[in-house]
Amino acid sequence: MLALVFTVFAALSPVQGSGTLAIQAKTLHLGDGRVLEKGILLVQDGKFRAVGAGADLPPGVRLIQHEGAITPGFVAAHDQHTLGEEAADGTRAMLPEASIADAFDPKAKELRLAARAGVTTLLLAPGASNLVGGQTAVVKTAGARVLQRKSHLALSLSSEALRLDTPPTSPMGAINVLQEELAGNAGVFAELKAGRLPVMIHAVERHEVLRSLEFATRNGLKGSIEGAPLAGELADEIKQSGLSVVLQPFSGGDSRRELRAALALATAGVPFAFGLDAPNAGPQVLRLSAAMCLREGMDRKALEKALFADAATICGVGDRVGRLERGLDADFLLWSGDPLDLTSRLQAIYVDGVRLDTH
Amino acid sequence: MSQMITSGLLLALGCLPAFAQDKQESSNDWNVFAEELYTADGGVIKNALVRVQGGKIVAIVPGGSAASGDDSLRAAGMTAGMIDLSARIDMGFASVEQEHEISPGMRIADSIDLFDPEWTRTAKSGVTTVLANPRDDDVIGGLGLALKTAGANSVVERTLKADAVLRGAIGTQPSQRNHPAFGSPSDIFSRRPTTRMGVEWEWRKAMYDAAASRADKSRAYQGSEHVLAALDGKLALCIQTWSTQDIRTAVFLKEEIEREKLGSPRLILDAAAEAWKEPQLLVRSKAMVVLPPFPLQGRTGEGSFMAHDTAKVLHDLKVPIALSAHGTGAAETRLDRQAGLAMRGGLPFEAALAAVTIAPARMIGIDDRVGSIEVGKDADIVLWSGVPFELTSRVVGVLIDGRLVLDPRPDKNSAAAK
Amino acid sequence: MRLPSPRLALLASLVLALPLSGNALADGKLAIKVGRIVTMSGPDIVNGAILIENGRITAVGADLKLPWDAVVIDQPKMVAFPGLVEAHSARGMDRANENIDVAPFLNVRDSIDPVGFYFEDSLRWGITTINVQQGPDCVIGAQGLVVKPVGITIEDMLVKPDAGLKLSASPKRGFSPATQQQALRSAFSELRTYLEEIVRDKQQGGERAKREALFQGRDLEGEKSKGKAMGGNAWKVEGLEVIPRGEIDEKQEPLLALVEGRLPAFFYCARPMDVQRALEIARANGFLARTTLVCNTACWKAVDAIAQAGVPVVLEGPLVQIERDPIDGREIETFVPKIFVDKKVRFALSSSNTTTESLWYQAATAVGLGLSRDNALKAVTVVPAEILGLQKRVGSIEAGKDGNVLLFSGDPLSVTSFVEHVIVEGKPVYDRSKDIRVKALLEGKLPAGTAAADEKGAKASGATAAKPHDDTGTVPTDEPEPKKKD
Repeated sequence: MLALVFTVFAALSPVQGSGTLAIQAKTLHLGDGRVLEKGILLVQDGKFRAVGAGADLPPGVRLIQHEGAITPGFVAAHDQHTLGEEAADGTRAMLPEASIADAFDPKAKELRLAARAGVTTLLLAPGASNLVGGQTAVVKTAGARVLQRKSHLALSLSSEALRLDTPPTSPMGAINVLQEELAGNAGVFAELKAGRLPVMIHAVERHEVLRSLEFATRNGLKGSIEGAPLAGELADEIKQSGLSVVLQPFSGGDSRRELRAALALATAGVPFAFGLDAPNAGPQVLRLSAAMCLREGMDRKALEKALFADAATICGVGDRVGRLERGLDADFLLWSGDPLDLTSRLQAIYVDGVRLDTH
Repeated sequence: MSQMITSGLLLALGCLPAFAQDKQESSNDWNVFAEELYTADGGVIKNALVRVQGGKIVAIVPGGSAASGDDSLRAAGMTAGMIDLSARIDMGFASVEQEHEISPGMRIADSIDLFDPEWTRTAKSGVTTVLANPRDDDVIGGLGLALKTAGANSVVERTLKADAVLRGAIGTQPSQRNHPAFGSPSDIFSRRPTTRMGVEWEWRKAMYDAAASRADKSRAYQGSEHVLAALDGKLALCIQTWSTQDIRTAVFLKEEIEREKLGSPRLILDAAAEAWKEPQLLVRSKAMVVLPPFPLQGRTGEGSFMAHDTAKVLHDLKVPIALSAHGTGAAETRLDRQAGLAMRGGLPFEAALAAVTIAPARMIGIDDRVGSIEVGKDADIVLWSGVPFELTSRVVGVLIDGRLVLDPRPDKNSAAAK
Repeated sequence: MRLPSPRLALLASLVLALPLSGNALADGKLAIKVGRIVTMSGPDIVNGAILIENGRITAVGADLKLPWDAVVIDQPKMVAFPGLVEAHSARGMDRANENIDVAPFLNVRDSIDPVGFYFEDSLRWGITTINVQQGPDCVIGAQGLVVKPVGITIEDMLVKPDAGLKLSASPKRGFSPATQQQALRSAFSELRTYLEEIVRDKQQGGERAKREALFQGRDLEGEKSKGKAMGGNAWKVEGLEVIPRGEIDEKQEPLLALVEGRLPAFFYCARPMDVQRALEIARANGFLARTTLVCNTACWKAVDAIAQAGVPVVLEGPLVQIERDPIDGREIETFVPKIFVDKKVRFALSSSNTTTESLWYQAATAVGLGLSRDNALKAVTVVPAEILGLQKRVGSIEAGKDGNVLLFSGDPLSVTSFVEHVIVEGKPVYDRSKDIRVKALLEGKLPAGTAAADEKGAKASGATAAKPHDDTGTVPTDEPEPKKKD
């Protein structure tokens, strides 16, 4: 095995073709919280061929040495801003058969921005103003790919889904409508009841979170609750329900209470992930939020799971992305140092084994 | 996963899962001592020691002395936790589903915000159980439930009695947002009722259709089974009736139902401010009355006038009465203040105490659990710095299900439940 | 009613000839015998009596020898209590506030409405002495008066003129705190400039001040023709003695009186930062010793500055301040009177916005919240009397003080006690059993024949046949026809 020292610069032109690639990094962050020192990553045909301490390299493959860290690509578990104007439908409350994948524009520039910030996988979700917004989808930010067309049924149990002049006008009206649909046992609702499709429930206030938990538990539903900054104050109740949480990122303001709530989720062992829908913020905010959580004292392993492995599971694509593991898509990031140290630079982004042009 | 399904089943059956208690940090075992324990039947037990265990009252020992120790609480006076059948802790228009004026199937349980600071304030003011109702913007708003004002972060776990009443209103409130449809309807409020008689028409239609559905299923409508239960007297009918003409409508409607042999509803008239005007209506209909807060200058909701001696007048005629506070917005309207004002209007102390404890409990059938300090009942206890309802005394301690919501001990900070 | 014998008839007419109200007692003797007297100047007296002659209390005690010609009020079940003292009120006037920023030449005398509901209701709730001041929406407001809520002219009501000047450290509408403070400072610097100018003018032989005084139509005779050196202990204008006092501009004269310590000041503060600014102005202009702060609830946070300044406080607003913790949303409650007691700041309670949450209610509620009974009762009697400089006249039942006595049906602070009788300066002026309004509120009964009663009866019951509060227990039988279902 010939080991050549090879320094990677951020502004290299793309390497064409998904050939074979072998990289050894100072630290390999596997995505589930584990870190492998001096681990080797072998990429072939767009997938991870091998991941380990000492991998057998195929003949003719150079081992590239990377003096920093390698992580999987970030998985953002809720995004609407890449959809532009397409996220909201103001015509009716119930859109169960609508699929947000139909609103996906592979050329949207927001996708490139997300990719350049290291977010390689996104969950697209409909707006919060429909009681049943439709089906979420998972896309890759490079390569124009829809990874999974139907990940969840998106529900909104926040006040944004209520109207003053058209039904439902109240949470109990909303719950009533949903219960009727579930009783009807048809279409996507039948899939929910059978456990074949999880829900992604948008809830903002704590009482909306509680209502969502009680609704899900009552009907035996799986899935996540998204959009509640203080969900962590109900960590025990969420744990009992078996649901996961998708948090919106933290802004730079005083988010002490929100940070403590996030910590509570980690402490209670509730699977959680981050979304990207902070107002007026770009995709860099994902990493910023993670760093703030770390500074607040969150367990590092829980944080890495939230950014990678658990996020992928929550999106329903845990068998495809989110971990540096044999057989999964080769979406990974090269960092000049600890990715959660904000002074580290993102040096290279690979999606499906193809290095992205990042100029 | 199986645990989740089990707990789901248990929750669906309205039971309390065992694990709910474990996560409470504070204890629910106490020795509670008061120089005077005021009992629901008007008696006073001196130097009473009440033992609380597992959230229930397990013993009452008269003539004892205060124990010392971490699990001891003491005060000058003790009563059962107070009960407010019209606390009106709500989320505004989110607390009523306005798609249909007749919504008997809606459950306010699904529109409760347990994090509203009103709950903590209400609990700390000594009100331990409330009847939560849909707001009265619908003619029939839905099903109210009785729940504790503090405890677990779960409506189901705090529930004392789900579907405790069928709630509605007679008067002007249900018709206020509606308007006639000139041309085509512009929104869901282009509908009847737009007047008081329209409201009564809706009531009558809802009741007659429900009654007819006994024989003809096609007359049933969403939630009509609850109206039927109300007609049968199995579910109490709780109707807001501010002025005496509304009280008349309610009473005459009940009598009409009885006359037509369609059923025998049990009436609870809420906010019956003018009940003093024609009290015989209440006597002959056996209606129970929940009084609104005493207005300081006489005029109150929907133009009604409430005499300060209303409670006394009704009490003398043996009409069951309960007092209510309509929220803790102003300290002056709190439930203990209402009891004081009722006494100021001539109601004897024992009747005032009953009107905020055992009487409301009996009205909605939760007196097996709450409403008085008796062995076996829930440990919902209020401790007072002096004689209850005097302005010079106040609530210093509150226990709900044996958990300390307001700590009477001077050296500890007030440990409010979440 | 037929009398059985002429002797009884004579007796009856004698009883009827001794009215409990009216002018007959103005110079007469009134003896009040009650089950308990709370004097507020010592221990309670059981089964005692109060003798009032010519409007003044002449004796209080358990075994008083009462003059044969005294009218006796004998109420063995009642409790006597001093008339309550309202240390500061901005109500009772036609309009509480004036548009002009600095208006010390105005007097509330010109806007008090003697027949206004406020005074009737104050009497009903046992308040017998009221310091009426302008509202807080000013920089420097009008001069106030101490009145009793009895009489239909200001002269009848007057207890003490020159009750003080109202100032506000809280910004007037449209002002910022900085503008307000600047306006306050300017008012006094303008006073100083003005005085210096007229002194200089007079010394140079001018007559400007005199001309302006004549123009304003002011009196220049007698006392007003004498000049005096400037008093006060903060700043002085030398040579003021050459100016006859009558020549001083009417806008500046009250401010001069303030600076010289001749007028008390009632300084309104809404927030803690207002307190600092008020004390600064008072100190800088030498009237701190005569200043009373009228403080809203939040000002307790400035209690150290208040204690250090040694000024008393009239507490307005709720007794408990509720703040929300920004981190965990918890509500934090502060019981304000106790803070003042702990820091030894003298304070008076005041009636809240609605007249029924008046002084007795505030005192009782304060006890409920943890204030000692003694401190609470003092805060509505002796302390406000001191603040108003009337400690020799009101605030307690003692020989030599005004005959202002309340008779409560029970313990004064009990929720079931009512003010049954009020005696002001020896005259019974309120009798609850004859109070129509109380009866209407209590029983919903209005005297038959009054227009309001007839109107109310028709409107409220919604049916012309129904009568309000029908004692016979009958109910109108106009039930609707039984409806057949559709």
